[in-house]
Amino acid sequence: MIQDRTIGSKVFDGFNYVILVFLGLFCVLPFIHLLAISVSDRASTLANLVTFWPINFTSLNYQKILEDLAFRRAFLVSLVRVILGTSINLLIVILTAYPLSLAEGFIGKSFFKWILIFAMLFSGGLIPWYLAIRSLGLINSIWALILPGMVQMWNIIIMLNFFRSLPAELGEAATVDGASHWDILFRIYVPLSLPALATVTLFAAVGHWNSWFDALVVMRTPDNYPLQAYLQTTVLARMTQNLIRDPEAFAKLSERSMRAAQIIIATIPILMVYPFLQRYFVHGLTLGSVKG
Amino acid sequence: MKALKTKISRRAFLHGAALTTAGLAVAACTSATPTAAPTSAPKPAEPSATTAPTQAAEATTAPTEAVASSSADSMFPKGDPRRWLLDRPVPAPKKYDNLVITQNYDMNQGIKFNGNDTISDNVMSRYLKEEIGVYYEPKWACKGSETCPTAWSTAMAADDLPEFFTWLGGVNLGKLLDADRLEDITDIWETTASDLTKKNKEYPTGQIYVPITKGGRIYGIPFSNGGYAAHDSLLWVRQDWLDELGLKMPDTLDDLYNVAKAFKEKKQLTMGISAAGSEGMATWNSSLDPFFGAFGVMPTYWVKTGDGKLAYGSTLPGNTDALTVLANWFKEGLIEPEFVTKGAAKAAENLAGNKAGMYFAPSWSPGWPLPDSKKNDPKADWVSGRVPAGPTGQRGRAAFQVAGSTCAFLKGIDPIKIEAVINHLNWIYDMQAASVIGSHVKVEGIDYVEENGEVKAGIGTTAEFYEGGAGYPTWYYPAMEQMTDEKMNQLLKADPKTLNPYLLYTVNDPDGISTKTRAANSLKFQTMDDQIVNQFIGAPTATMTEAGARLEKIEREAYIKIITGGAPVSDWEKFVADWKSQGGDKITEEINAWWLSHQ
Amino acid sequence: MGVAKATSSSIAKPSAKAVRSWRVKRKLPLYLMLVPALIGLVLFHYYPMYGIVIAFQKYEPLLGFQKSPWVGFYQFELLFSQPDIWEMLRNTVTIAVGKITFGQVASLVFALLLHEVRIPWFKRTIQSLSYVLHFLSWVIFGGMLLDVLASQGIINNALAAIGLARLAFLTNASVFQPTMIFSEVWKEFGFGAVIFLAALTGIDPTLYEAAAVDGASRWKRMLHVTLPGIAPTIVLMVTLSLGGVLNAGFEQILVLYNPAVYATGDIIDTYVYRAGLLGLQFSLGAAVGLLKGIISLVLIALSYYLADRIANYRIF
Repeated sequence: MIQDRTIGSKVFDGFNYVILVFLGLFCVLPFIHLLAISVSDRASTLANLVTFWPINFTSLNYQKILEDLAFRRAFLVSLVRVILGTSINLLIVILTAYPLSLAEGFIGKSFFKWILIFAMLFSGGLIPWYLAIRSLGLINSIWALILPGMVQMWNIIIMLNFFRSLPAELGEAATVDGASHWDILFRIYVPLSLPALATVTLFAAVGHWNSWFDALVVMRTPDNYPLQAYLQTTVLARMTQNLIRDPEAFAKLSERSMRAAQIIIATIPILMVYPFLQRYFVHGLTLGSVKG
Repeated sequence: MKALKTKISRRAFLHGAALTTAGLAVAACTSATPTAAPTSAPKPAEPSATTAPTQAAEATTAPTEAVASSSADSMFPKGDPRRWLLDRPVPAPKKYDNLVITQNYDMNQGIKFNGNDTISDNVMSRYLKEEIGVYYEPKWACKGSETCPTAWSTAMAADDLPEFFTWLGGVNLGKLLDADRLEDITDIWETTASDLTKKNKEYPTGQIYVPITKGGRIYGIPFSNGGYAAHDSLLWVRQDWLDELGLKMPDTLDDLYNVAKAFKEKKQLTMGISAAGSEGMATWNSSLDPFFGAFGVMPTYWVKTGDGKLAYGSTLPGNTDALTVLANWFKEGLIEPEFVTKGAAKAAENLAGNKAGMYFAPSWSPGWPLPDSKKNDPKADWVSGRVPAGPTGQRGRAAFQVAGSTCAFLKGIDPIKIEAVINHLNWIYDMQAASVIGSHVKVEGIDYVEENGEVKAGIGTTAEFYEGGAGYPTWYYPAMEQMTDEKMNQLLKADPKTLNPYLLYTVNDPDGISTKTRAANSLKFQTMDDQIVNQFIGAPTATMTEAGARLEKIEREAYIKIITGGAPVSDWEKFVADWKSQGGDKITEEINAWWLSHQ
Repeated sequence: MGVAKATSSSIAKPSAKAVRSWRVKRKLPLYLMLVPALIGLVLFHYYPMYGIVIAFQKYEPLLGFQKSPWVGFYQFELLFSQPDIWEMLRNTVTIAVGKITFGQVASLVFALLLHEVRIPWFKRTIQSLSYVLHFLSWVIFGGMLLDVLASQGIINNALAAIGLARLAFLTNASVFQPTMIFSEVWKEFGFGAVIFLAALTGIDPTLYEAAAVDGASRWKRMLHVTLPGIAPTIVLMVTLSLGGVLNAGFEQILVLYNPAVYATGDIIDTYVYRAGLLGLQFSLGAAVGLLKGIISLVLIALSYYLADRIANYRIF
C-alpha cells in the first residue's frame, strides 16, 4: 500500500478504525449473548435474565453435548459433507466457468449460460426432485446431500466473472506456446484466481455446513442427519404460528442454555475455516507482475 | 386453536407429568371405568388428591391388596421394565413368529437414543421383538412437527407408504381415507380386540373413533391425545403474594382485575397477568381463553347452538364483551404489554423470571415452567384456581380435543399384521389397567436410577419410547384417570415398606410437583362443566383449505387490533361480516354437512 | 497479440483442413469441461422441472402428476382473488428491494472501509466479527430481536435515555418494514462484503502506485481506481440480486411478524405458508414459485441487456 501522511488522511484513518470497531462489536454482541447463555444455568436463562455475562456459571451444557453420540455422529456427517461437497462444487465451478468466460466463442456457449440462469430461477418443486434422487438410488446416502447440489449456478457466475477480469493475453500467449485449454485453466487461471476461489470455497462450504432442509427430505431416518438438520429437529425448530403445539417439545426448547451451547459448537468449525482462506483477501495478489 | 394439535402426549414434564393422572377425581366419567380394573368402585370426588403425600408415609393402616402385592421383587426381577409399576401380573401377550411390519416414525423433537441405539434397533424394538415377536421396521422416521409434515407429503406423493401408519391425522388422514388407501379393520377388530380395548371406543363421549369411521366401518385405532382435558386452562396465582397483600384467590373477572391491579402496582411489575397472543386466543401457556369463556364463547371453536347446528365461535355474540374487557386491561397495562409478539413458550419467561403473578395454563404447569420460578424466587408459591366467572356467573375454558392422531393400515396389508397390532394394543391396555401409576413400562437406568434403595429420576428417555415419543404406536388408555386415582389413594395409605423405590419416590414427592399437579387435576375434573368443546374434529373442508388462511388472518388482525386499541370494539361486527362473505358462510355449510353425517 | 502473430507467421503455413481440425481439437476440452455441469443440471434441475405442471393442477399427493385434475390458471386466480393480494405484493417488493439496496450498499461501504485498513490483524479480526451473525438462524437471531426491540428492551431504553420516544418496532405497522430491512442488513452485511473484498484484492496494485505518483489523494484513488476496478462486480451483484425481488425473507418475517403488523408485514410467502398449512396446497406454492421465476428472469434479462447496451458490460 502507498503511504499517505496528509492530515486529512490521518483523520480518515482514525474515523475508519472507530467505525469498524463499532461495526465489529455490533455484530458480535448477539454472539456473546449466546455464549453467556450457553454457560448459564437453566432457570436464569429461561427467565431471560442473562445478557452478556453468565449467571450461575456451568459448563454442563458443553459436557452433555460432547458426550452425546448422536451429536458427534451428525457432526461427522457434516464434516464429510463439507469436504466432499465443497471439493466437487469447486471442481465443477472451475470447469464450467472457464469455457464460459473465454472471449473465444463456441457453439452453444450463450445457450449454456442461460441454461444456468434458468435453472437458478425455476424449480420443479420438492417432489419431482425427491423422485429424481430416489430413482438414482441415492436416498439415505451421503451422496444425496452432495450430488443434487453439485452445480452451483451462482458460484459459477461469480467465478466466470473473475476469470473474465484476467487479462486475455495470458491465455493467448500460452496458446501460441502450445498449451491446451486444460493447461491454461489449471496452470494459469486457477493460480491467478485465488481470492475468487477462496470466496467460492467459503460460499460452498458455508452452504453445505448450514443446509438442513435437503437432509430432512432425502434422509429417511435421523441417524444420517448432518449437524444442522440434527439441530433443527432437536432444538431449533421454529417456534411460531400453528405448527408446533407440543408443549413437551417446548419444555425442551426452553432449555435455552443447551441450545446456545449447541449453536456455538456448531458455528465454531465454520468460523475457523475462514481465517485460512482470508490470507488471500488480506494480502491480495499482484496481477501486475504477471502482466508486466 | 388447541383443537388442531395432532400430537401431544403427557409423558413430558418428567415425573411431574407422569403422575398427573394419579390424582384425577372420579366425578367426571365413572361410567367409563373399565370392569377389568381391580378397584373399580368409584369414589366420590373427595379431596384425597390434595392429601399431602408425606402423610401417607406415616400411615400405618394395612395397605390394600393391590399395592401389597406389588412387592416388586417377587413379581418382576430387578431391571424388568414392568417392575415398578404393575400391581399384578398381566396375561402373556400373543406372540408372533418374527413378524415385520413397516411403520412410519414421527418422533418427538427431544427424543434421544441411548448409547448406540438407533431408530431401527433400540430398547423398545428389542423389547417388542422379545415379548410379542413383532418388529416395527421404520419406513421413514422424522422428528418434530417442523419436519414431519415434509416427510409425510413426500411419502404420500412418492407413494412410499408404510404398512402401518402411526400419528396419522388431519389432512393426511382425510386424504388417505378419501383415496381409499386404508384397510377396513372392522371385522378383525370385532374378533381380536379385548373387552377392555373395546371399552376405549366409548370414552369419553364416543368421539375419538369419529375421524376414522366411514360408512359405519372402522379404518384405524385412534390415540387419545394424552388423556382427557389434558391441556385445559386453569388459573395459576402466586399465593405468597396474595397473602402478603391480604387478597384472596380471585373467583370472578372483577376479582381477577383487582388482583392483577394490586400485583402490578404493589409488586412493581410490568404486567398484571402473563399473556401469549401470537398463536391465537387459546394456547397452552398464558392463554387468554378464559376471558372469552367468561362470556360463554370460544373463538375458533365450532360449537353447538340452540338449533342443534354448529356455529363458528368467533362470530357469536359475547366476543364483544370479552374484547371490551381485554382492551380495557390492555389499556391499563394489566395484560403483558408484549403479548402480541409472544407465543406460549416465550411467555414462560414471565413466569420463570417472576415478572407476573398470574396466568392461565394447564394442570401440568407445576412441572413446567414453575420449578424455574421457584428457583429464581424461592418464596414463589403458585396455586391453581378455577377459571373466573363473568358478570352472569358464566365460566368457560377451551376444551382440549380428545380425538387426536390415529393408527391405520395400508390397504392390502396382510391381515395377520392387523391382528398382531390389535393384540399388541390389548396387551398394552392390560398393562395399563394393572399399572399403579397409570403409565407404561419404564426401564431402570434410563427412566430412573435405583441406588441403595433410593430412586432418582433418570434421564427420562424410555418413557418417550414406551409412550410414543419415539414414534411407536401409543394407545393411552383414556379412562385410566379413574383407575389411577384409586390407586394413588391406596399408595398414599400404604406402608412405605411395601412400596418399591420408584413408588416411594412418587409418594414422597420431594419437589412438591406431584402434589400441586394432582390438586390442579382434581380441580379440573371437578369443573368439567367449564369446558367449551370444539365439535368439529374432521379434516379441513374444501373451502377451509382455500379460504382458511385469509379468514384466519382477518380474524387475528381484528382481535389483536381491538385488544391493543388499534381499532374500536365495534370493528368486530365488520370482521364477522367479512368472515361470512369471504368464505365463512360456505365453511359453515360444509361443517354442518360433516356434522350431520357424523351424528 | 504481436507475439502471437509473429510466431504463427514464422511457421510454415498449414493447410486449411489442418487448421480446422486443430481448431476442433482445441475446442474439444471446452465442451468436455461443461459435461459434469450438464449432467448435474439435467439430472437434478431440468428433469424434475416437469413438476412445474402442478401449478396448473389441483395436485393431490396420492393421485400424482398424471392423475391430478387439471385446473388451468385456477391457482393463479385463487392467489389474485385474495382481497389483500396487492397489499402482500407491495409488502414483498418493498421489503425485498429495501434489503437489496441497503444490503448491497452496506456491504460495499464496509468492504471499501476495510480495504483502507493497513493493519492486517485488525482487518482480519473485524472481518471475522462482521460475518458471525450470518451463521445464526433467524429463529435464534429473531428470538434475540424480540428481546432487544421490546418496549422495555435495550434499544428502546437507549432511545428513552437520550430523550426520544419509545418505538414499537415489531408491533407498529409503520416501522415494521424498516425494522425488517435493518435487521437483515445487520445480519448479512459482513458476509455480503466477502465478494467485494475478493474483487478489491484483485485490483492491480500498480494502478494505485501510478495514481499516487500522479498525486491523486486517497479519495481520488478510491473514485478513479478502486470503484472502476470493482464496478463489474457491483453490476453483477445487483443484477443477480434482482432475482430476489420477490424474496422478502420468509423465515425472518415468520419469526418476527404478528397480527398487529399484517398490513405491512404479510408477504406472499407467509400467505402461501399459512394456506399450505391447512391443506397441503402444493399447487398454490408451485404457482407462486413459477410466477417468481418468470418475474426474476425478465428482470435479470433486462438488466443484462441494459448493462451490455449502456455500460458495455457483459456481466456473465
